[in-house]
Amino acid sequence: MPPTMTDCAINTSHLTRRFGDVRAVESLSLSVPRSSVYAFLGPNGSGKTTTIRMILGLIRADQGEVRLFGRPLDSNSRRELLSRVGAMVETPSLYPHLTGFENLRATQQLLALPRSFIERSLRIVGLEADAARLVKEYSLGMRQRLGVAQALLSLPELLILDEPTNGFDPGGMLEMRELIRRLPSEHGVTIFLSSHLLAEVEQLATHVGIIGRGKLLFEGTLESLRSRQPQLVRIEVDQPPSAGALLPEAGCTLVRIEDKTVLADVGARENVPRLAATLVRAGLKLYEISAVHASLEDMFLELTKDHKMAPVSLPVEVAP
Amino acid sequence: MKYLSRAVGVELLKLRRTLALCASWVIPVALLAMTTAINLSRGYGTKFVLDEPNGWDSLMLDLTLVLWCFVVLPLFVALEAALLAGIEHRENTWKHLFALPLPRWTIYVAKLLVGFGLVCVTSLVLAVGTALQGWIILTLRPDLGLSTPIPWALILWRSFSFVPPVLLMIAVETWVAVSWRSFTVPMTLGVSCTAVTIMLLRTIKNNLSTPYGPHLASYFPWSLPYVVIAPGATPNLRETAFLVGVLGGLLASILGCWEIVRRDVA
Repeated sequence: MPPTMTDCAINTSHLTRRFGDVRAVESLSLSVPRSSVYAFLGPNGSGKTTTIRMILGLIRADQGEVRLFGRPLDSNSRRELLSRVGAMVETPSLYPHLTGFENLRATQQLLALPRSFIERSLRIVGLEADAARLVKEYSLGMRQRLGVAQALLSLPELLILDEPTNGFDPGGMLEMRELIRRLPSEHGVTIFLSSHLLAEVEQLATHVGIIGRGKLLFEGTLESLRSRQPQLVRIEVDQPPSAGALLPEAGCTLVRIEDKTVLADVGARENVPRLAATLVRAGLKLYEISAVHASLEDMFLELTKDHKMAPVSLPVEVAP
Repeated sequence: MKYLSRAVGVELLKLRRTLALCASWVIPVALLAMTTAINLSRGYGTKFVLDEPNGWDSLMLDLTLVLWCFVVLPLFVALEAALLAGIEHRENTWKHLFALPLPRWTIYVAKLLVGFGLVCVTSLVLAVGTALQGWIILTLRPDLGLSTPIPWALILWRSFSFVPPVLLMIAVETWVAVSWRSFTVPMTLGVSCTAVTIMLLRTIKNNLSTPYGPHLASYFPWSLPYVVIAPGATPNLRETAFLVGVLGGLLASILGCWEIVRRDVA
């Protein structure tokens, strides 16, 4: 059963945003269940960051609505709802001339949080020992962790992380993954995580939303995503082209012929013995039929192959 | 107000180890050092004589405050606005600030208040520095005509009298500096407008009766501080400049807030 609005930390309905003639996000409807780790996936320039900015009220939607914790995000509710959200958008927002501690102190002071929250946040991300160092001396990984600490400072109910492992080495990625994995179980935080690195979220996410060219291509649990995928088998035979031609007889579909093997979609498990019988009956030498399990990356590439586009950025040089 | 006081506190925290804080005392000290050297090298027989008996008013108005209000202050305001906004532009921390559960205007008003506060710091440095400059002149060049006691009330009045109308300049420069990431935009504006000021203010200094010069100077944001202290300006002109600076500054600040709050955060 799909989650209701009140069960969701984030709900968007028909969210649309254009930059000139470019539709960065088009009629996007997301449902992020509470206490989930929701991976928001898409190729570069697919509209992930634009969506996050609209969810945080940083940019306005041309159409559609954002709801946080069941309530619409508008000028009346903005402050109350954002007090339950922590976010790191794209790169960490840090002051290089201040120490790690002073950076968190700035946010702590703005939010009038207890000073002890700074130490707690530093402890969660493992930066206590480096808190007194200037941020300009930090490595990229340390900056990312401090950015997460900043987002976590108020221990929000919803943590929005936009490409949190950008620029990480494999060690840093592992550390960040461990950190994100711990947060929902230890602190009950809902995590909305955008990424274009599929392998890393596959091990973390409970739910997945896939976006391409600003449109939602899939949303659901990882299991439901996997169940949508074709049942692929790899067939090793002496004459692959002949085997490929015989596939329809067994109720299967040819995906492609690869050297000495044939990749086929059997549709249903029951078709596998039928396929074997058909090939043997035709006099082909059948050596092996093996199941092919699609990784999240394969599924992602399959879903987004027609939806790649040039990165969209705001067309103005002005800030904020 | 609680949000604003927090935002101002954080702006002050962010000033640590910055050129913005350093510039607020280094620049007036450098100007005072230069005018002290010029005064000490005046020819024998010259005296600080305007219309007051002990020479302190002319010590300030002859050189230090003229140079300060005429050229240095407009450039200082442009520099400070660029540096204060640059703290956020550098790592694009706007997106973090504006995603916090705070009224957005507090972030902007805090920048304006800190900018104004830094101008007040420079005035305080000018006041203390002028007293020190006077003491040095009294010691090394008693022939120049300065006399004791140090007129603190006059020095403080002169050093702060032009500060309220600076608000308009600060409001315009801050809006420009926050709106454009490039450091050169507010600086170019400051330099260009200082050049315009020089043209406008020559009309006051030389008591020229051109029909538009003095009149325009009392409305042009970058010339207001000088008009307020200029010996050649009429009381009416000074009053207009003061009111334009203060009321225009408040209006420009409100408009800046209104615009920034509604803007998309890139």
